Amino acid sequence: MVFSSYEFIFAFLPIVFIGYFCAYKSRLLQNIILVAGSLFFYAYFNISYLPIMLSSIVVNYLIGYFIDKLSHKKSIAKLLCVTGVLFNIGLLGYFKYYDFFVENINSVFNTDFTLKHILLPLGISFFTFQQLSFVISVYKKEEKVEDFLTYSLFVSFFPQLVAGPIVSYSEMMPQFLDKENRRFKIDNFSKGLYIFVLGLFKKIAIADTINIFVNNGFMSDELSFSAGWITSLSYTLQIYFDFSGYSDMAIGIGKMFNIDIPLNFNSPYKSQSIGEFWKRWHITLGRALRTFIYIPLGGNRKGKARMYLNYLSTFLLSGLWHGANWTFVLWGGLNGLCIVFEKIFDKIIVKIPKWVRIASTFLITNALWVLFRAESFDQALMIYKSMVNFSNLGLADVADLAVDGIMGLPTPIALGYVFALVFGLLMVVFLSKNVIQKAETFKPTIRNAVIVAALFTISILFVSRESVFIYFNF
Amino acid sequence: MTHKKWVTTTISLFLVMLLILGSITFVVDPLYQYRYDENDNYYLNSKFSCAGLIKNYPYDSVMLGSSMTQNFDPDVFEKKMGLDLLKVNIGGMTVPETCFYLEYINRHSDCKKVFFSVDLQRFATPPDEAEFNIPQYLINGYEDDYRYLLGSEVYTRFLPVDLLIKGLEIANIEIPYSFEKATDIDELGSWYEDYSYGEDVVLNHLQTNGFGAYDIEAKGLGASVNENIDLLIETLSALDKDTEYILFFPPYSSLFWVYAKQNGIFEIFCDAKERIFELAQELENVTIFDFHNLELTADFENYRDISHYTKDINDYLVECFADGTGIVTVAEQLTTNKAEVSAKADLTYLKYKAHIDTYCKIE
Repeated sequence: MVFSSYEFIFAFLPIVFIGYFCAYKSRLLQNIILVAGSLFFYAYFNISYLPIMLSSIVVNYLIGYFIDKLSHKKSIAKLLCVTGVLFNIGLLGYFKYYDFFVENINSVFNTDFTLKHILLPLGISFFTFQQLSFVISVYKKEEKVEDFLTYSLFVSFFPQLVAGPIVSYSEMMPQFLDKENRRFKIDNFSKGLYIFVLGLFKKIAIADTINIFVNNGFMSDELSFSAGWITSLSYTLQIYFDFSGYSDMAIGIGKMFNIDIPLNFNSPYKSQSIGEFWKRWHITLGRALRTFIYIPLGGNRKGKARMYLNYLSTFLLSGLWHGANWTFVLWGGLNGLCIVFEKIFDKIIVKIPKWVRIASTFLITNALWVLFRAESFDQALMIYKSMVNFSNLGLADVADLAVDGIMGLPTPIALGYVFALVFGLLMVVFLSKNVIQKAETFKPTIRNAVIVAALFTISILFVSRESVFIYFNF
Repeated sequence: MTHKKWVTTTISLFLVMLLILGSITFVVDPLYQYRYDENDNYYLNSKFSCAGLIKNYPYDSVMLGSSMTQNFDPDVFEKKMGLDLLKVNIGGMTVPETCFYLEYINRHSDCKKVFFSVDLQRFATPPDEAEFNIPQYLINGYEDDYRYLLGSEVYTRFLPVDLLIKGLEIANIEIPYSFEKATDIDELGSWYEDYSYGEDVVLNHLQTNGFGAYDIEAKGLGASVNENIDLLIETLSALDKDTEYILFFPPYSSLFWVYAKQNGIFEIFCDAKERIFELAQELENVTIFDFHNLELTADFENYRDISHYTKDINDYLVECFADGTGIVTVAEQLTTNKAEVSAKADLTYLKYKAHIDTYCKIE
């Protein structure tokens, strides 16, 4: 079940919440309830995913446990750590990249190896990354291994299980172990509800609505200049509201349970550079990539040329992490190149007016998202061509972007609707505070009660529309 | 206020809002799920409105099917056959969707006749791979009604437009023609005014699209077709014997059969027709009409592409239903019809050879 479903909002969440806080006298029972609930949540998507995740939890825990116990025997600890890394990479590699690897072998060597069409377990990129970081942290003696149940909770905690934020052992364990967090706290609950509802609205009312423009645009054979730009801008907005909405919901739910889940989005489109963008977008992924790829490669400690190479490598891997397709790899690589460019010309770039830097960063990001969304290079090229097609400035196909097969809107109304929605949302991302910033100044007022109730109601109206979170594909 | 009061207020307001909105949907009922009132002037959509109309609209017969049926006119049925017809259609209706509606109509009404098109193109996809686009919450039992009462389509499309139409009526302002047509149940799904017809139009369509729009592969087609036939016959066998089911093969143009011959699917489709006839003989209440060999199929003034025909053809087919033109009573008729279809296709190919060979090459 997804967060934006009737089953989650009206059944699963209330039952787990009430059960959890009714058992406040026993940390053991509370953790059992949360782990059981989380595993049920995961298995609800597809029960065949469950053995994979459970095996992953058991293996990683055992590796972490024995690294911890045998930390005085460095060679064994190192061997265990390497085993853990290989296990997690192997698991991810098999489920996510096997067919991609075979397809490329077939393409390059003209062979005919069979594809397995392996079903990708939901959230595998997230929970393997999380456990990989755990194993490495234990090896580096940065973490102490707790009991198996608490570890299971760290991996499976349902708010962040299938699409992050990617949390670290050290930031979650103390919270799960803190006695103060066992009791229901009304102020946390109200704040959590506030964040959850705003996140839900962002995802279900905004992202899923604008998805119609995106799908229609990308499925077209050809687009006008305007329609090309509206399509790309729509996806730029969709992925932001979808992913940040999900993260907000995760943070909100965590807050209801007295658990602070780290911030994952911080108004990324207000960034003045691509480098800054990646400190504001999917913050926990950036943190993990920096800790486990960029710094081990040498970071900025081995000279400028090596630093640039490290950035490029990190972003190429980031692209590959996002998807088993060369479009993702190119997307990641281009992000890396942009950062290298910024590093090289940093002294000139800082002199450019702030608004120009924000606008150009946004336009570059917008262009790169086309690659991220496109199913093939041809599709991406179609969009790019339209965005520079000054010979076709008509608006007729912009109205077609709003076609949803239910109701035909007169062209002027459809045009007005598309432009109003896209440019209205652009104003929101550039000018208004994000949900977490709003939550920092949240007060329990009647005005907030009416707004939250209204947004919650509107969101429930949209729940009957089928939707999937974009980042569930990872 | 305190956090406790805030939570209580917020949740209470939320529940009250849901109750109000749900009640509005129940009272207005834009998709006819609970009742039909002839004074209601609601915006219709085939996918969303048909289920409710089947349950609550007064009718004694149904025209069911894909785009081949959307231009039928209930007034013509009333004039020629004395029937009160309800149109139930979806563009590209698949066989599973057809079978679902046959069963749904049987369950919710006592109608005398159900006409439905056997659009053989739809039989090319195996039933378990065919789309089923009818929203589940509109066809399941009452346990799913909350999805309708608090539905996104209801609140973002149907209710606002219905309120707008009502407002225009009250203010005595002319309703835009497209909206007026969309509220007419007799026009449900009809598209005849949206296209041009004629030989030039058809040839131009071929020039732009070739036969590419009709991507039916011969490989595996026989198996898919037979699975769909089995599903259809199985469905018909389980239905009430008091209702007459009138099944017809719609008049694709002769160009469609040129495509079928070139693509190696002509014999498969002809065999399918014979099999359907043979199996239908065991059912007392099924009548079959074959319109594939009508003379008009070679006149492209009647078409907008190689299979979609004008409303005049639909009106003519009603006359055929009334006077029995095209009815198939013995298997040999299908053999004769097949020969006529084949001959027409050959003549059509000869007439337009240059055009077809240039623009309609099948890879």
